[in-house]
Amino acid sequence: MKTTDVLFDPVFSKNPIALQVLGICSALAVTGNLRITLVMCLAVILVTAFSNFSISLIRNYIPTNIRIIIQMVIIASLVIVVDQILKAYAYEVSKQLSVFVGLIITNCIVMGRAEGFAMQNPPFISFVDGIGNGLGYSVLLIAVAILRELFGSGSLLNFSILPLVKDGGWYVPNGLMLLPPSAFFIIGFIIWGLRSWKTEQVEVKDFSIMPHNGMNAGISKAGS
Amino acid sequence: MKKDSVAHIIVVTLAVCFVCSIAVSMAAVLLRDQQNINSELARKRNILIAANVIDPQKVTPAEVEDIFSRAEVKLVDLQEGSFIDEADSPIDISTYDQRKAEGDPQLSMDLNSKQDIASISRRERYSLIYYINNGDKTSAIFPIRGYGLWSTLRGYLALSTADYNTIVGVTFYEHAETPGLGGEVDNEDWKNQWRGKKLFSDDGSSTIQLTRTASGSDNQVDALSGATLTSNGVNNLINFWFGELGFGDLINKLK
Repeated sequence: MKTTDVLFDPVFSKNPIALQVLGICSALAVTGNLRITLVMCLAVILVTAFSNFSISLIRNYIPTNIRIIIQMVIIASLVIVVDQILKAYAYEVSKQLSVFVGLIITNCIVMGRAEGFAMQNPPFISFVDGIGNGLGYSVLLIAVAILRELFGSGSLLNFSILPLVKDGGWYVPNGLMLLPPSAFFIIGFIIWGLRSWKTEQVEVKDFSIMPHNGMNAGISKAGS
Repeated sequence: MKKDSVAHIIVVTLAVCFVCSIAVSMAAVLLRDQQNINSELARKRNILIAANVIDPQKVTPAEVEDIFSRAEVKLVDLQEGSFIDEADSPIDISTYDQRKAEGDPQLSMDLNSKQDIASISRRERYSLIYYINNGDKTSAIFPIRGYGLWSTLRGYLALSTADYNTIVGVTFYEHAETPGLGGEVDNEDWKNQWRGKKLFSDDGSSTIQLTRTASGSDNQVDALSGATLTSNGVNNLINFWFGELGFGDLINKLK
């Protein structure tokens, strides 16, 4: 297991949002404005990295019966610390993120990596894995946020790129892009693109529908 | 000790909780000063937003401090319904902490259940109000507070000094209502519909109402959908603070 693989695999090959479809709810909620997205991504990277690190440190002492609760306690504490730091140094952004910082606790990526990776691996590599998965989450969120802010508000990081009609420019903003459902469409297109490029990510079909050939076809072929 | 024995589970749980609680409380204590600076700045910002003198999207902290420093601060005796001259003021305006006074038995009065429609339990005797000039118009900004669904909403309501009736703006700078429902009290669009409305009805008998069926009347604004109790809370606190226990008497004298 190479460190660089652990760090960069989750970005494209095993992206937590695109491949495992985890952490979607915050991906819809906080991607309307790039600046807010960047702060959220930083918070998630920090929490995943440090929760992986600390859980891995004590992995040999965590009793199996209560391992999930122990993980939750550690993750929740880290989230509160991050929330306090944001309130102190990024007050406006933290007001706009409101509940979503607190909801990092329930972000499946954090707990998924704690349970799936940090419980079996040493601290350093777990820390790197946390950063990698945080990066994978961030890359996708930032891509969504760039599209949403550019076409929804005609700006990036609050700098005007496409001058809006209401300010005397030519661009009529797309109202759908400001609403959370637009992130569904964008994430859908990204997943489609990613799976066309890396075809090994396409899931095997659970079952295929039989061809339709006559009224009794289903019954007579059912046993074959 | 075996990894899954009861004793081991208890020891590990206690140790993890101990370490985590130290981390959380250290973060809270060490960052408190910085957070207080932020919330004080947010309070000043909201006073200016209520007075409609800044663009909340573009203003910098330095500009907020600068404009705020030019505001005129007056002390009101809520019991007498009148201003207090700085010369014979019983308290020093520059150091008066209204928030502390709310709970101080010397400086506040207990409200009985009939009086206490805004559920604030005590009302301070002295309140600060702010006067801010914007060109040829001046607005008076009154602090308001009251209980919503989960929390005490704190905010400001600005009135035009031309008639002490036209609302210049309203803001809520501190609350813990449900995000997306009651939390929409700090939604720009919702707050903007207050601008230009009349605080009192024509016969002076009632204050502006949040209603489900706002008809475009000067005395009504849309309530918050999905947040009946927060909307009721806002109604109650406006009623209280512009009634006879609040700024009502003072405003009647000024009109």
